[in-house]
Amino acid sequence: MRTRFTLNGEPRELETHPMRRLLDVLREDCGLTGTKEGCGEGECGACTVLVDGEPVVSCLVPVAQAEGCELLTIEGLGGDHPLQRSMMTEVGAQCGICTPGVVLAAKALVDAPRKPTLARVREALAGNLCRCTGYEAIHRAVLAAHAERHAK
Amino acid sequence: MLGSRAGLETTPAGVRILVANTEIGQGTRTMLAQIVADGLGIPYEQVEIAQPDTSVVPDSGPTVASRTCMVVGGLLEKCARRMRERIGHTSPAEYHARQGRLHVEEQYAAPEGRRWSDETYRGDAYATYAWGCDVAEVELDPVTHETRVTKFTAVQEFGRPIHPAMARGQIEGASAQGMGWALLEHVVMRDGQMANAQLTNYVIPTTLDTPPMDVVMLENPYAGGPFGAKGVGEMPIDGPAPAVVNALRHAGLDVRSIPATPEALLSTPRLRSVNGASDAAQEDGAR
Amino acid sequence: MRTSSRDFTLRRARTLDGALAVLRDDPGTVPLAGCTDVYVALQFGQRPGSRYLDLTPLKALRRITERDGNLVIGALATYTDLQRSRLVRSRLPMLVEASRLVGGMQIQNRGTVGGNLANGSPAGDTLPVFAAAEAQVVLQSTQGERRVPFTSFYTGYRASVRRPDELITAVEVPAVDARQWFRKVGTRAAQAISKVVFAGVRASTPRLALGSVGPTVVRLSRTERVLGSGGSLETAIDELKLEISPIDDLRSTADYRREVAANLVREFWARTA
Ligand SMILES: Cc1cc2nc3c(=O)[nH]c(=O)nc-3n(C[C@H](O)[C@H](O)[C@H](O)COP(=O)(O)OP(=O)(O)OC[C@H]3O[C@@H](n4cnc5c(N)ncnc54)[C@H](O)[C@@H]3O)c2cc1C
Ligand code: FES
Ligand code: FES
Repeated sequence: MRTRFTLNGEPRELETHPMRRLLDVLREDCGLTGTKEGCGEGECGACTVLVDGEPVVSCLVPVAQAEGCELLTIEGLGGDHPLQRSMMTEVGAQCGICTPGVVLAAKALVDAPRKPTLARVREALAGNLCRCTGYEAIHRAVLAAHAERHAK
Repeated sequence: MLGSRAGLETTPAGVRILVANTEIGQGTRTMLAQIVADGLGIPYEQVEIAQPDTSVVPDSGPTVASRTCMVVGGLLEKCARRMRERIGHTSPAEYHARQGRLHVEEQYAAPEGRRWSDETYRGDAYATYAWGCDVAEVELDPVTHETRVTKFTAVQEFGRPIHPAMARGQIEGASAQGMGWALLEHVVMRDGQMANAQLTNYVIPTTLDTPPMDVVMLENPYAGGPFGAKGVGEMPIDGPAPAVVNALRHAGLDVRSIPATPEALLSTPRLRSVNGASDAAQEDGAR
Repeated sequence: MRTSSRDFTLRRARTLDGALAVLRDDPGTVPLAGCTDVYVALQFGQRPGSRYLDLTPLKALRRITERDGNLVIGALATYTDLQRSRLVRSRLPMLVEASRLVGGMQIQNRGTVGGNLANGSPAGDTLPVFAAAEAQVVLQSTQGERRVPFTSFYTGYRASVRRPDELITAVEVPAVDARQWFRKVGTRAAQAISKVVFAGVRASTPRLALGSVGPTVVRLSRTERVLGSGGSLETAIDELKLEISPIDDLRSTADYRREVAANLVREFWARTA
């Protein structure tokens, strides 16, 4: 089946089985290996990508359901989003498996003008398991990135 | 382990670290490169690290037991200082261009007065230890028997942190794992296999389960470690579960095993008296 | 994914009539909505079917509206939709609470009400809400539409009266004019499958439902009768213990579920007094 979507701003069209996981299509067909597979069962959030701006776990999305959608993967952030920088300075990543998913799941909080409370940050990231950091550095990174992004 | 070796060589761009220790996210590469850069007095960017493949690096012993910083880092600090003596005031890159590759290597020797045998694996495996104290504040829900850690404080003394932000992350991450172990992480074995080996049923903490953490790193430089450092790898996972259990005991539950899941707490006997620190003493007296 | 998708076929529904025709002609076809249950099953090497029908293009089934005094929730409404809906927030706050506690944000963005009902896990978090709210399940096939009271929808463990040629198109919830209370007990604060889940409505005859304490969601009609007729709370709890049949499994124990179920009923009664 032919599937069309916009991937990190570029229109894409590819021929693939419609039930393949979006995760596999991104990694194998599109060569974008920034999206990680932690569990394949929707639990860990490592495979999080944005579909029409909303975070979803790409291990549970048949590629057919991405038809006509705007997809954003970690590669689409380009490496210079304030949250990517603050994840470095706050050491929000240790082994790094959860990191691309965490960044995409938290991006909306960082981009929105309203300063998120710590409780809001925790809620937004509840679907992203991290075994290494204990989350504290991730929370600091999100709040720091928000402050930087909206500094007058 | 006494035979652990670490090496350092010059390159056209600076120096390359030759050790067998592996990076799995704990920050080993960063920390070792910092030690070498500071030991040589060169910018961090001029330090690279060889792949930990023992066909090209010496055997530095395993990446275990919180020894990488204190032992291997210590060897590298010596390598760096020896290299500096050999090359004088030039930079390693300039030296390399003029004289060719310079390679130095150091082997671990037990500090004075320590006894250890690689044959029998007996003696003082470590010259020193790090110390820590954890405080857990918990809330127990009488409706569901669920425990929530509401605040966690970790005070740790490991000589001196080489990279404070990473050391803090190590402590926070280990504390979260320790609290997960204390309250949630239950391995169910059936027919010799782990029956809950999936993230859906082997339950680790999420952002909503970990409490705010206060981390205090006390500095007490250790003369035998690189720049005063000891190890902080494993210690922070040891304290959280005992702290959580003691908090539950303070709340009157005679918890004797972990994880203290709500199912386990349901049938946990109550302590006969609940009196803070004097608990255990009173309990012993009652026996 | 452990199950290979190679020998599967997928059709995408363009119209509701077209989808119903597919199900009529080939009742073995498995509908797909948010895939948060189906793709987990595939990952675990199960094979819910080999022919699939994607419902997500049927945008009309995602709507949440009000009709004849009923709150009508389209089967494709996601947990995020439910939380954002002004109608649901004002009319059925216990469903908002249930939705907020499903999985994490990523699952809430994809998982649907229809999927939760059709999947029929006894731990499904919306099930006690609909049971306590006396909802009706709207089923549609090429032969027409029928409404099934929620309390007679399930016939056993993950079994319902839905025929293979039928789709769930909506859930209809009559006005609830009494205090609502929802509580999920999953131990982990997010990404948790309920060990016990409770929803209750404090009407003159109260309506109480529990999940994860039996093969299907349980409406506690005998407990309700005691409470509604002025019996004591502890007599009601004795009835409750006869109405549920919890089991030991990987996540929890029968004893725990029984004890916490009773505590939840006590808590509901105290909080809605
Ligand atoms: C990490 C994770 C966390 C979760 N947490 C929770 C939780 O906290 N609480 C909870 O209750 N559930 C939870 N779930 C389960 C799941 O998300 C829900 O059951 C969800 O509502 C399923 O909806 P879906 O649209 O994704 O269903 P799908 O997977 O698309 O479908 C599920 C079943 O329903 C059928 N179906 C779907 N729509 C229709 C329809 N309109 N008519 C007829 N049949 C239909 C399908 O054929 C399939 O059999 C979780 C799942 C994951 C992966
Ligand atoms: S890989 Fe998708 S949630 Fe873990
Ligand atoms: S950094 Fe390792 S899982 Fe998050």
